[in-house]
Amino acid sequence: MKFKQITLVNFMRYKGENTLRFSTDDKMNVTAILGNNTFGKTTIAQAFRWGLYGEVTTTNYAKKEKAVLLSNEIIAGLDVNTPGEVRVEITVSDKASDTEHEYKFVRRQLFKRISQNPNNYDIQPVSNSRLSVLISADGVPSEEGPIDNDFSRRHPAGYVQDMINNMFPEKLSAYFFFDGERWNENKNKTDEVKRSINTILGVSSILKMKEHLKDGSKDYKTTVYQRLNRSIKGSSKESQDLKSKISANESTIARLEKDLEHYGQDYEVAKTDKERYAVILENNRSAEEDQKELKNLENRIESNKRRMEGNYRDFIQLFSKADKLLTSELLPSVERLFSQLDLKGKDIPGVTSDTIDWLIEHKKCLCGEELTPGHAHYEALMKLRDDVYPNKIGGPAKLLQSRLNDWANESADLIDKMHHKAIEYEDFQKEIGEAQMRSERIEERIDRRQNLQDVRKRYNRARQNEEEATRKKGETTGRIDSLKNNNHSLNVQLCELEAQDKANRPYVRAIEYVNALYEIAEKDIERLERPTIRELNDIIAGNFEKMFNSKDKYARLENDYKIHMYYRSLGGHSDFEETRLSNGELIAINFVYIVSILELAKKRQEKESKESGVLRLPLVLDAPFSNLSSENTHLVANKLPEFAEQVIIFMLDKDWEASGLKDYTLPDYCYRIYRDFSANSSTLTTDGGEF
Amino acid sequence: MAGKANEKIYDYFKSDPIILNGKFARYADDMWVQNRIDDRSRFEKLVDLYATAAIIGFRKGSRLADDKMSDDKRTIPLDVIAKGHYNRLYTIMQVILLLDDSRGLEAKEKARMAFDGGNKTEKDYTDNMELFHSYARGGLEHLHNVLVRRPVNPDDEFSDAKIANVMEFIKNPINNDEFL
Repeated sequence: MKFKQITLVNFMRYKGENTLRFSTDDKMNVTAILGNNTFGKTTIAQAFRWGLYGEVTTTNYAKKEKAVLLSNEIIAGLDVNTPGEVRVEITVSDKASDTEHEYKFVRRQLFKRISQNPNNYDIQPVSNSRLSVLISADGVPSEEGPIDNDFSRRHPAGYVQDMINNMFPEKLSAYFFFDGERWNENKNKTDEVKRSINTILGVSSILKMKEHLKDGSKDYKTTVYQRLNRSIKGSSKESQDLKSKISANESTIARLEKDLEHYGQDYEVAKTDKERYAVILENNRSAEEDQKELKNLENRIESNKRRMEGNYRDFIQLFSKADKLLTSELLPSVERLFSQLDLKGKDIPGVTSDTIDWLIEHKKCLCGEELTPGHAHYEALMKLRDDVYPNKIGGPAKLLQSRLNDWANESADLIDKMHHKAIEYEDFQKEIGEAQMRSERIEERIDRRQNLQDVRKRYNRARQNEEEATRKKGETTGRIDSLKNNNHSLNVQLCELEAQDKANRPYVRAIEYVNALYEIAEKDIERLERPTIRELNDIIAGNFEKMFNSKDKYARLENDYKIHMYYRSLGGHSDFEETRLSNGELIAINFVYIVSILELAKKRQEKESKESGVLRLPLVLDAPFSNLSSENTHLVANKLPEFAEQVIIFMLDKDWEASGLKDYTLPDYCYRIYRDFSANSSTLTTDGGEF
Repeated sequence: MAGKANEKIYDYFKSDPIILNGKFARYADDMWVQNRIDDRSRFEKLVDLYATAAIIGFRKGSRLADDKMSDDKRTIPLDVIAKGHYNRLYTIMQVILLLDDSRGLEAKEKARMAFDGGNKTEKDYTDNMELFHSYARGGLEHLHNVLVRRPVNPDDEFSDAKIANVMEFIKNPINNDEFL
């Protein structure tokens, strides 16, 4: 699924019609929009949100409730009776099969001014926004024509919005419409992580129930559990507290025992996987070596091709100055010609050959003498004519000589430099040719059915998981023992307290009921969550390795729903957790998490619909690098085109150079935003970066 | 005064953009790609190609008439020339005006043309620009022959056609050059 283009009509600061086309190329898959802060980059991201979901988000500059959708310039020209229209058109392309399906979503809304007062620019919507879609197959629009979201004969109300939500689930939109401020967020992301996983699992309703019962949230500020507890009064409160503690401990023990059971399962799964992969690796020892070499060769060919292209660019840039060499070689001829001329001449102020030509033409000298050929005055003037500018051209001639000398000096080693580059070029070509021949020879004999490098990675991961599960089993057993001891002493205290007050019993029973219900809900979620987190962790491990290409550290989502980074240790010690992450590591981890969540969502959807490529999401990033150093910008930016199918990125000029995204961007898809400060409006052109 | 304001100023490379028509536009497309350098590129910019074509056409003594047989057209706008290429083209023009013998001018007359710093007459401007462009067109065809169409020769130092042709050309740009 790729965005093909977006058209903004009178949307916020974009007056009139502004269209952005996006690159749908498989390799050069980046579209960049460059512009300074406050020029309107975020507005385009907002247009995506409004076009797809009918709402905008709160930004640095405005709360979403206060966002004015209609262009200010258009508002200024409206009166109370004439409405103005805001429109966003988003075209999405899906090339999953041989046919290219195109979906053109159009959202429009009318606004009018609320007051006759010319200085009051407040507006109000005339009606709700209208949404429609036009579907085409291979460029041919469907016979049905545009389908309206609310008024369609053939489709139920909300049909078009549902279609959008299937393609770009709104609940995951925070990931593919990514706001740069969040790259280096170090705050507790637990809730967000839980929410995204549960969205993918579809267990949001159970979560709501848990919040209502015990967890609390912004929707449930006072929980059922709290309310019931407040109702318990008097002496039994103390024993109830003890009971609650015992009960809480028991819940924790039960949870930990469940965890222990899961760690046991994790251990078994990891052990089975490890053994299975070990057998495959053992049976394919030489094939694995071959595949590894083939992979190395492919990488070498790829990198040599890039270096060869760079080398050719240098070669052509040198040759492009050949005119200076070819022209400066004519300096001796120019000097020979100068030797035939008297370069010095006479410098009579205001007298040039034109002055004398004028006198000759009028046949009269300044002294009144007639000027006829053969006459002394005539001959004297003709002699003088040869001595004045431009017939005597000392100054300009020296300038030309000096310029040709400069060109000769500049070009002195041009051929040597080009020769050097040409040799390098053919060396690269030779190396590529040899590597290709070696690849072909290996290709002929290897078994491609199984990617053994991938198997090796899976084997290593399974081994780590096995060690991890063993460590956690040990820790959990220790905690269970300690809680059981604690409960024993609490029970002793409880026995010493007096009998319960009868009046509190209904509340106590209700609390027990809440606890039981809560436990069932928790178990249900855990049952679904466990394999999902295992799968997500596999994806995170793979992506982390791709990102850092490092074998000594890894990242992992733990039970606290936070991503932790570890350094591997040798000799059976547990791995060392790095808690003081550098800015670069933090960003890389957040980035890995974002792409992993999207990948998990994609895999889940594929599993459910039994077909591949249903959810293939582009990444739309708004100013992702504003807080990063050049080094980190380069680290993250270079991975973007590899991780996402399509990248649409809004950024500052200073980051464009550092990002290195030029290598993944076709010149036609590098836009620039210009701002007209007087009208507070923006426009787009396609002359973005230097190519 | 109004008439004067509308009067055209005739100054080399400041009054009119450079336009390549017909086959010359197609030659340019074979040797240059806009905004990037790829396998087809022999020059980085169109103005680089045109400058080299002009001087090589002149040195080969090769002048060609314009080709208006088709609508193909490539343009080097004035603002591109103004951004760092004016002195380059003007210097080549001066050298051509000084050394060109095709019009049978005296050395003094050649120098007057080459160093005439002021406004030119329409005739001088038109004649001299056409002289420059006709050499550039001759040079374009020559460059197309030697850089694109020429097959690699077994005696060439390099085997990749695009590298070999550029290197063979730059090592020996002119045979029987009457100006050296």
